[in-house]
Amino acid sequence: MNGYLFAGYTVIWTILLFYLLYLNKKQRETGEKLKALSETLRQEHLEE
Amino acid sequence: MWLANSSRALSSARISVRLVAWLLVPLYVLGVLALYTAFIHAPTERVMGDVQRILYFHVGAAWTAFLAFFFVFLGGILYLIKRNVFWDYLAAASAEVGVVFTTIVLVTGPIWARPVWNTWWPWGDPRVTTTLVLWLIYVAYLILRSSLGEGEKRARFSAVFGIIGFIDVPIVWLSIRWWRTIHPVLITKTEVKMEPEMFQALIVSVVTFTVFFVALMSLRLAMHLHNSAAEEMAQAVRERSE
Repeated sequence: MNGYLFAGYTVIWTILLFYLLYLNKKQRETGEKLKALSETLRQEHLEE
Repeated sequence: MWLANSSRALSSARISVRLVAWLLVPLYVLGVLALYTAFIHAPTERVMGDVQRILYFHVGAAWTAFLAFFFVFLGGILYLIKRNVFWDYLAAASAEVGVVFTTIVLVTGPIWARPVWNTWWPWGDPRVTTTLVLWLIYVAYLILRSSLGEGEKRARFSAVFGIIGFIDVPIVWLSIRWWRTIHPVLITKTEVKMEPEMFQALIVSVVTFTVFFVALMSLRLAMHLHNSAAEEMAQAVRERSE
């Protein structure tokens, strides 16, 4: 296979992979925020 | 009130996530088909050889970037009219995905240009320059968003920026017709200057990238909506406990 062609497609998959990893990180951050929120609400509920 | 906003955001997010789930199988099938048509179905170009096969994903990514920036433009207009933050999040999600696809265009272009035009970056070529400007505009859009805090001001500024920034998209598209450039005009109103199998591979790639864009944009939009609902609820809990 042509080296430039291989490089071109490798770059495409790499960029997409990094973007998906970034999305995964963002999703995890939101998940943690929601977990902390539900924990706060649970404690408030127990105190009442 | 906050509960109503949050629940609306969460139900919109649920629809976005469901859309992504529906698109996974078609996306997989289209991805395999796009690779098959680009590498097997399409013939090898006589002059450039195998490296010309970069065209299918290079153009697919470029088309998707244009579409993404159109959604930024549309989201901006709809936000300014309706003042609904959903349109702001839609524009933000589209801008981010658009920047990713423009990055693919700007990186695969030089890899193709080096063996064909004997240069990595043809400075002075209108299409290359205007595409770089396009990338810079939307990177600036994302920087502007991250520098302003969540709220009406950020949404308004971003909407105006996104609408004005879109001016560069038709300029990129028409640059090869307006000015002298080494980018060939392959598709005109009357003819397609490529083999039918090559054109079929290009169409499949464009469709695949479009579906991929819809999936990524919906996913990012769902994240924005989840995040906004979480922020809003946390704020309400803080206010209640004070």
